Amino acid sequence: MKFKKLGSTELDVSLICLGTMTWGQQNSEADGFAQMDYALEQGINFFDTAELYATPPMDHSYGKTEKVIGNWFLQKKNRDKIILGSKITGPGFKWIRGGGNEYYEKGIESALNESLKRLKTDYIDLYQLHWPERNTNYFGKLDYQHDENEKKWHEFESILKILEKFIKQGKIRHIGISNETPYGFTKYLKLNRVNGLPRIVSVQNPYNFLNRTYDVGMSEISIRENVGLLAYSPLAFGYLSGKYRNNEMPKDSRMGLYADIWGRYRKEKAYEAVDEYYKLSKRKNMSLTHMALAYVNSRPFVTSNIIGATTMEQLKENIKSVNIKLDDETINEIDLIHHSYPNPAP
Amino acid sequence: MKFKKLGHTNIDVSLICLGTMNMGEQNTQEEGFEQMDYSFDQGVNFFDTAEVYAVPPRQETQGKTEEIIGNWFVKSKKREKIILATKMVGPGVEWIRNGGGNYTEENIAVAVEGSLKRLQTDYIDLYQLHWPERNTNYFGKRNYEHDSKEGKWNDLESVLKSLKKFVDQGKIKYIGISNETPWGLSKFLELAEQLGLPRIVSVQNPYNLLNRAYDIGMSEISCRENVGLLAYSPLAIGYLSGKYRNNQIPKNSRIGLFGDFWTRYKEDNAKKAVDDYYKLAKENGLTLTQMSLAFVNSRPFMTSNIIGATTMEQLKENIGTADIDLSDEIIEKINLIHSNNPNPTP
Repeated sequence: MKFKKLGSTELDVSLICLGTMTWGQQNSEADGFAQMDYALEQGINFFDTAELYATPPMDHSYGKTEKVIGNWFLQKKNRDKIILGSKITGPGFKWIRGGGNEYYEKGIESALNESLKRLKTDYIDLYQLHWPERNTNYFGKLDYQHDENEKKWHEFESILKILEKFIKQGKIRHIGISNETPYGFTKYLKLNRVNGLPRIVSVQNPYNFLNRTYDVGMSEISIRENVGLLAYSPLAFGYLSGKYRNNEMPKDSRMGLYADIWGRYRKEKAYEAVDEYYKLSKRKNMSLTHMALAYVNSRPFVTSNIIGATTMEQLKENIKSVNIKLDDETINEIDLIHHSYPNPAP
Repeated sequence: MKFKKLGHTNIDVSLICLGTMNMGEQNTQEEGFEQMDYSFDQGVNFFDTAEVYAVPPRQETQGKTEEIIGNWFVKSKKREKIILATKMVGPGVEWIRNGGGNYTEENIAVAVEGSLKRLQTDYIDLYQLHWPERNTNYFGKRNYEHDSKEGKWNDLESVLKSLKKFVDQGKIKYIGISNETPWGLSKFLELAEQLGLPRIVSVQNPYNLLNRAYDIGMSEISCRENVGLLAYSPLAIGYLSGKYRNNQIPKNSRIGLFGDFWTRYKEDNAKKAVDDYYKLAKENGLTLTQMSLAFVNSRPFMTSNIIGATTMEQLKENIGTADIDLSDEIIEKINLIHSNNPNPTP
């Protein structure tokens, strides 16, 4: 395993982070335990979850993933071996504190305490805001569309002050943001620099062959400010495993099960791009999965690549990508395809 | 003509800004005078130029455009009726200060004095940094590529401090940036606020139907910080007039004359997009030029749309777009073409 510093902290996190969102829905608790055991054996020390999980988000799956992880901590006595990331849900889900704006003191306090309870721990290493309260471009929206009648949202300064309280109480070690834009990212950093509020240590945004929008404006900030990307969806919901090529929809796959919920990658140009990357991976004698993950691993602004698996076979392949080094020629050819199919599925 | 505030100032600039970079190369002084006279009569009160113009940049024509504008000021006695913007060149142009066009106080002094002299005025309303000194993504580069061996550049704080001296002397009224990224934009804003340095009032970046990268991370900052876009290349060097469709290259067009210099928009995906936008314009009884410029004019983060013409016919059509309102239906169709073929030529 390889390791990188988590932002400005002294924590070394594994380059592969274990994503967990399928546990409690597509995967059982036993599956989750087997994944965590294996990942830990392979040197992974970084798990990412959220109060919202398991996915797809439903009232009956809410909190289930954190429970699976908490039970594993308890049974295996492994809490201290893991750097644990979790997230407080943003607005929009009725069954989570009513679905309004979440990032106020009572909301954060309740979310955090419930997560700690489910996770059977008294601290979270990295507490992330799952998505912004304000109107902006994330979850498949390429462009920011200004809304003059935008509803009120909590100022970043007030959010950071609340988070600071829980850091002082020891319940949170570090904070991060997710699904953010350059405006939010730089605003949080400024409040740290100018007002001495806690510094964010990570940005969890999507990054994969079908969506490299992070390269446009975020990656420069990541590098110059030393706040790296935790890349989510590195396989674009499995599209970059190649399993949905030629209009296939395997029955137990995420698209086979929940196609109605996840339309983000079902775009004509995305299919064409997948075919091009697939052909390239064949010419290079590697699986598309390996090429896709190794590429994300190689990016200088990436702190950790959050992989997710529903089978042990997938998990093994994903983790192995850490040992694959793409040569310059392959990277050039990847960039050439990207140039022809820029960000077809943002 | 319509007007918008220039950033946080009380200055009303026309929604159409007269671009001038052809004057002194493709256009004579006489033609430049005619363009300025006509624009002024149409209510355009905002002219944009640069010390590096005319284009393509050559030693023999450097400063010619500013001279033509200066001569027009003397002849027409309209200096005080125009909001005048110019730019200091960035590094890399050999014949200007030996290619060391870095933003030091000494260089800024030389550049400002040279521009004032050529422009025959004692103040510049908007002084812009033409492009960043640091390694970042502009001029056709979609993505930021980190260079771990990046050379030294003047930090933005020192640049603002130098510029402040010329603001204090009254030689510059306001400052702006150009070809910038979210990191640069947010940094300039933060430094101004934190250290009481001059606040930038505009960002001059490309924006057109083939390159809407500004929508991804910059436009939110523009809207929320009240620092609007001065859109350059709104017709993508003429590609969005449709004149280069079906592989045509008119003899006196910019590509006919200088095709080797301007390769930025020569892409297969761009050709396809131009054809799609062309059809949409025809279906709606508009020229492609009108639809392209009216779209740029309509964007909420836009302060002014910098058009450029080599003939009076073009100039009239361009300025006329200030009166065209695109229906929601056309905008939706534009967004659909964009979504299927996003930003083919960044």
